[in-house]
Amino acid sequence: MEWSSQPGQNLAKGSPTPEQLHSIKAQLDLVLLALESLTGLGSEAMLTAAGALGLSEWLSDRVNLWRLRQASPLRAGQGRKKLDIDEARALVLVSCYLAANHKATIRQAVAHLEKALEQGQPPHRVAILGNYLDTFSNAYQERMEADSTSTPDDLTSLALKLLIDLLFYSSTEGPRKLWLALLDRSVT
Amino acid sequence: MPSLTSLTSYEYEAGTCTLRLVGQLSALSQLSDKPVLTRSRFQLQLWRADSVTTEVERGSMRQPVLEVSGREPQLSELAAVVRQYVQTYLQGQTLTLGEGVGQGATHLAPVGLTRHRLEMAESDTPARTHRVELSTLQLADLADVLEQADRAVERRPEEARLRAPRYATRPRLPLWIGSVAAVAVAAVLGSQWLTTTPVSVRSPAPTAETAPDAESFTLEGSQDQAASVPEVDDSQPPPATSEATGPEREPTARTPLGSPAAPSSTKKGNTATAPEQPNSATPPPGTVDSGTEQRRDESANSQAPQSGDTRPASPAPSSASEPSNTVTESSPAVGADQVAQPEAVTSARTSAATADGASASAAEWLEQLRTALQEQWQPPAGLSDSLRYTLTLAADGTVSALQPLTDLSRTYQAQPTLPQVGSVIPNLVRSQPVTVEVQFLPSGEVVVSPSPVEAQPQDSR
Repeated sequence: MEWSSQPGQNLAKGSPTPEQLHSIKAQLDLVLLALESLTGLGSEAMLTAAGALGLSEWLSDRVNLWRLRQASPLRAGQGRKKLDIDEARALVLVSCYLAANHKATIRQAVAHLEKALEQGQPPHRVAILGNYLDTFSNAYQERMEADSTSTPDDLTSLALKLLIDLLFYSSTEGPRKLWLALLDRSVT
Repeated sequence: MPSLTSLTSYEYEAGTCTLRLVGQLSALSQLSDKPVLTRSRFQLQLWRADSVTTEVERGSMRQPVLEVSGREPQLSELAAVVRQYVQTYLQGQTLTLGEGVGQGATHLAPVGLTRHRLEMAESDTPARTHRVELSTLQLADLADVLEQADRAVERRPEEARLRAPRYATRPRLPLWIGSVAAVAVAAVLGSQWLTTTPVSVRSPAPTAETAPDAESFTLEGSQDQAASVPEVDDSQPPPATSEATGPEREPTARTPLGSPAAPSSTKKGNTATAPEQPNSATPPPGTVDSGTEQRRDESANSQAPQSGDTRPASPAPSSASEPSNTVTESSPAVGADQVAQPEAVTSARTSAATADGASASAAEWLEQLRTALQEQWQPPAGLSDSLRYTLTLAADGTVSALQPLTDLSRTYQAQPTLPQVGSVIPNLVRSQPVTVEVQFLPSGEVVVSPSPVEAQPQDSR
């Protein structure tokens, strides 16, 4: 798999508008949250990935990474950092790089999900999926602003959707897919 | 020998999916940042996700849930559909897609939360449609290999196939046009020659042995001309090389091979002929039909020196039963050949042209057959050697027999991309059944040659 040291080299060249970036920030944070919940990786792994990809200029340290992720409009707290286009692209590359590195785990989880759905079994009863769903729900509720309208089922659906998304992002053209999805989502 | 082109193959794998591309490497590759494949074919295989996890245990026992092969346009269509479907899914907020994506004969639609139904038609046999339900893992792998291939190799569509669908009839001139044109040219040239060329005598007078032969070799329907041979023999100029071979081929053109109609008197002339020489109007066995015309010309040229010794006025005996009459050697009989007669020469030239026309028609027919077979032929995976068959076509183009010539050919005889008995190959109507030998190469090429044990296909005029 080819990974570029330039954030936008493998991605579409269209620059999103500020409104689009607003949505992109939220989605990128969720992708990383799903990845964290499934694989247990933390900010150190993300910084290492950024270093391997030559993206340290945009993801230099934990504080910088925390500020970038805190830019999500879904996050609890105030004083969000603005996310620029290069930072967004750097996060896309890091997310897909990590997804590719944990492809086996992602495939295993998706395979279990398919099997569970095929057998009419609740996904959370499968160990790997149960752990993932629990971790994701806890992290989401801990970090995001409380939303009285969302239910646990909504969170489960979101987590499973992000799990399947990660499967596609872990492929050869994962960064392009994620970038296009971010742009598409931000305009719909 | 058929001209062989080198093929390049690429293989891409991702989990449950394997994609194999085979094609000719275009010269454009030198100018491109990635290889450019022309006339490419693909073979796509999808396995069950669970069978992949136990691949080591099952070894070769696993069976693909989908195995499809085809040509470039179909692959691009599939890639576009999968790409659009996946991207639509990724931009959605929910686990399932609302609707499917389709392009041409390829459709992909959601079935439940994590299942997707793929439908695609075989490019070579559009009536055959593959329907398979993909898991999300399989879909992701399929998307992955298609993207790998798209990124690594540039595939150029086959222009010929874009222009005409399978079995479509290309705008062709009627088969008899070539013969008519040749006859007309020969008649015009012959008449000019006879009226303007000074008379010269090159050959000695016919011997007592050869003169009767010349009479006895009179062509059917030209008794009068034969009778006038003694009167005009000295007025005949030496023939041109290309014309010299004409009379010898004439009987072939006028009488179908294998016909028992050869008069007994013709056998008298056979003693003066070279029995080793095959019928000049019949392409040698094993000839690639695409090169038949060229070979025919080469054959004619190779006979030129002998033709120089052969005189066109010699009404060669019918070669219907004796193909060896086509080329004569220097022999006492040659003296008789040197006796010329204007009308006979004209007739001979006309017949020669007709023979050329018939040969050209046969070559065209073989080319037409080869094209039709090649468009249908898809080499199965793992085919290592050519498949050779004797193919018999009824007069209406129906496949009446497909006889394997090797054990390997027998193994693959039931392949649907091979002509099956009872199927009809359109636009190949002949006046009589025809048997040819066909080779199906692993590269996708097809070589058709006249069967050595059967008559050459004759034009139905």
